[in-house]
Amino acid sequence: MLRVTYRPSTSHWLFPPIIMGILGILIVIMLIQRAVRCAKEKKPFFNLKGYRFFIENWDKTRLFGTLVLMILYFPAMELIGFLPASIIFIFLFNVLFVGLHQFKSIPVAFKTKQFWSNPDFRSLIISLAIAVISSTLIWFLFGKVFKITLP
Amino acid sequence: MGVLSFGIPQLIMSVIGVVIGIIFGALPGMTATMAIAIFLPLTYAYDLNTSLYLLLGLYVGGISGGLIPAILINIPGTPSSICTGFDGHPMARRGEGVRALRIGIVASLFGGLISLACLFFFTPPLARVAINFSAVEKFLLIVFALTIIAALSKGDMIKGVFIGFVGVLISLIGQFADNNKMRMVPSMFRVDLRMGFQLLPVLIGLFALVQIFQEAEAGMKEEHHMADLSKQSRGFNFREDFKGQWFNVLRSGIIGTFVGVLPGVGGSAASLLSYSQAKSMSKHPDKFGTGLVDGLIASEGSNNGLTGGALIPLLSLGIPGDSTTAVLVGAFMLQGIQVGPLFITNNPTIWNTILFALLIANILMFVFMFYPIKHVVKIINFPKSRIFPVIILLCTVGSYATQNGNIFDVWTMLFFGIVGYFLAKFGFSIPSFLIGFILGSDLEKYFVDSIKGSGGDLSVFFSRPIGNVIWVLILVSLVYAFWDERRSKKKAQSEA
Amino acid sequence: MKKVLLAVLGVLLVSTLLFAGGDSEAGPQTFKGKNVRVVIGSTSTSGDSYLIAETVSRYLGKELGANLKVDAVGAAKALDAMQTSKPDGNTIMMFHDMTYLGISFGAYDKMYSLENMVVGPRIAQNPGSAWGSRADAPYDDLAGVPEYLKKNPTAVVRVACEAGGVSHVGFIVYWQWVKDVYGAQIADRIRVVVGGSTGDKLQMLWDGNTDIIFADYTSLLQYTQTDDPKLAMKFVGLMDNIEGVSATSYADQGITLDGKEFRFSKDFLIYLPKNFPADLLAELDAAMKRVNADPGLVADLAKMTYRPGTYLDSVKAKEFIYGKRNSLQGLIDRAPSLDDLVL
Repeated sequence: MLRVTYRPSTSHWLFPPIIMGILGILIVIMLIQRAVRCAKEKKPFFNLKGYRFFIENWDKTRLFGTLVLMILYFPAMELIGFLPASIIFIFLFNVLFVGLHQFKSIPVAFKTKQFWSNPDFRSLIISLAIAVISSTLIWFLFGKVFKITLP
Repeated sequence: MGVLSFGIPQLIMSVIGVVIGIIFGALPGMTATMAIAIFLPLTYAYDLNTSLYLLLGLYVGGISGGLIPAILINIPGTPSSICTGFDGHPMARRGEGVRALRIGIVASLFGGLISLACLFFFTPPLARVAINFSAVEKFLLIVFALTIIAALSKGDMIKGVFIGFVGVLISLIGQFADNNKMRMVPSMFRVDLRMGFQLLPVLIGLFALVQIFQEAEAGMKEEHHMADLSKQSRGFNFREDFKGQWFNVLRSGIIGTFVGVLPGVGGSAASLLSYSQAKSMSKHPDKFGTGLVDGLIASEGSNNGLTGGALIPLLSLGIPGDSTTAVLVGAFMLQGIQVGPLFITNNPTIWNTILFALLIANILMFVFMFYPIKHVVKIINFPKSRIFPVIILLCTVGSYATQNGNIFDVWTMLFFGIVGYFLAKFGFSIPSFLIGFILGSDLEKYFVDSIKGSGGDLSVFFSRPIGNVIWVLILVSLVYAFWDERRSKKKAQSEA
Repeated sequence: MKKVLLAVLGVLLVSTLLFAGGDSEAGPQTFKGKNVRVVIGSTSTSGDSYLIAETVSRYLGKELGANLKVDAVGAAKALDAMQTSKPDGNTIMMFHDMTYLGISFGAYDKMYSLENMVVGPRIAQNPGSAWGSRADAPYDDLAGVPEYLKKNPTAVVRVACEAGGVSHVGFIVYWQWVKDVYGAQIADRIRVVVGGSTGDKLQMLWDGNTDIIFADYTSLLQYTQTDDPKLAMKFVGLMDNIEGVSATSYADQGITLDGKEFRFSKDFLIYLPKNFPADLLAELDAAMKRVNADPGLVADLAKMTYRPGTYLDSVKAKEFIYGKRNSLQGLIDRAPSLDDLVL
């Protein structure tokens, strides 16, 4: 009958090789399946032509902006504290998602003294309001009332 | 003897518990376990009976609240509501958000009540069954739960199974509990990865961040709504929506209860098993995942079924049935009450209180979710560009709090967000990966435990009667999945 | 209206920034008014680590005038916190003998050793480390096991304990004693099964995969009181005597370490990051001294079969815990590896 050797000091390496073995077998099966299918349909095994990773008209600014903001947000929390970092970054996320063009409205708004009626500037104010309210609410509710450890 | 005290203070405690529990359940990254752990020290100020109303309220509310984000924005609020989104979210997308939520809530209520009835009537016999489930049976049961991956990844089964096993492998990273030794950990992460990747940040990354990245890539266009409320095509109608579902409700509640009864088999296994059973017993399995009421009921009925089930081994053996009830043990111990085989005999009052508090909590959960839900739903009328930043904030807080304040968990969330984004790009199923990840460490534990018991003889896996029954179920489930895959492929070919 | 809104938002923003940033303090250091994070070496909120830390923190917080919050972060994270936290009293650790046992058994890196932190006062003791077997086992206690093995030359007794923990210490003391008194032939028929949580070990017992298990006294108590034949258990040996409990200890049974009486209670101490300020330590010592004598605490701990123990201030506690560690190191070094003790 099939046996395996069990030793406490090496038991942490008992199971992972089994899973790795299964994965190896699955990879082989997948490759064979693909080879068979490609042979049948007379397509090359590797077909990078016409392959596109991103969707059509993908939004570079928003995708990479999201990533960059997150990478900056997490250390910022530890550096300047949860509340200030969250207010700043949730505001920035808001602005990024709605559209960075809103920033152009700042000088315009101050020049024309039209704040609320300038739709882009109004959107910035709404972003700021969302950032301040949501961050403060979460900071207060979870950090103060429920005493969850926040950065 | 055995009288229970119930009055206004207890009712208030229960309301507070349920409402806060729902909030924790509904926020991605917050769980019932966390809520109970937070309130545990506070319970010392009250007598145990009063605290139980609060704690059980948190438990029931926390498990139930998870369906809200799962259905509305396809982000499971708790690990046990993963399957809820499979059919709940498609319903919301076609404008049946309120209906889906209400079906889920009603299914939750019935699941909770079924498990409560099991707790009341069958605690001693069910505890006996739990004892007879050795490591072998638990291992096989988890394998059985894993077969849902085969059923989920229709169209490209090998690919789905592959990514599921990758999830299993990832879950093994870190320290093995038996000998405290680490494997697959790069030396620079020795401290942070000692306990491996935490489930919650992985879950949030895979569901919430992937979605945010995808929307960002698509430019956050408001015209693709997360869910459409404007064309409320169908409202909730109890008679119609639950017609022909009673067997499903009962089966889901019982599966949930039973998985809860087994100590050490995680709660998320309940909804996975229930969902795959509902699918394989269904007359139209191909419609699962497209917004089918059956799937929604199966998931929600079973995860609330867990509540009563998990209390059974706790109260009859002193062994908690899941991670949340494990926290509850602390509440008893702090008050100097031992849990063990004599708990119910020694503490009839507490026993009655638990039953009654669970009943009240389930009813309150229903009241506080069923009616107000139509207002909550309006959240998704806000533009995505306004909601997503707040979701990012909540996810960050939730990840950070997973291990009481650890920035590494926040990076874990981001890492798996990126991983999930790539997985989706290459056509891998994210739920399959996550299911492998959730079940992986238990799979290893019971595999090694079985080997330990047999001294290395692998035939131990075929040596137990209940085990062999589960083997049959596993095979049936796999054969069925293969057959289903073939049939749908043929169908696709004949249509093309 | 719009300007008012703007102004309000501005003020709110600035004030929150100030409020959140203004936590730094100056002047003489004290715990008074502080939010203290108490990390513990367990992730469970039902084990002795949490229960003792939570109970003591409640009293200690009152004495210090501080807000103590227990964080169940687990051994690795807690040990690491002692190396990475600032010694300002905002983070302290409460933990039992695993603090050094983890390093002694080689599970944790040397950088986490006692030398790299400051030892604070002792807060409590848990004497309830117990071994239990099925009620119908053919021996009455641990001392009876080798006698049973002598009479039954083919029998094997399997003992479930965890690797690198208190139960591991308890086992090798016992095993060494059997080997010294009865010889290697008998000792070789006492084998180890590596187990996890109490629930896992009980399951092993029910499955017939082990004969004796290690657990906390309280968690097994009801199993020794029930008459259900499938569940009923008996205590076969405690590592230390518990007040008012008749189950016998190693000392009662004559199980010795190198011929000397062996008693082992889990000692819970406060541990602090390196370079911890002396005035804060003194404040902690003084507060713990008052807490140690508080009848409320004594009663609360007694409910869970724990005890505050004789008061040990940070100096005495340090001497005590170093001594305890050194007394076990020789045993740990010469004990056979678990690999040679399993079936």
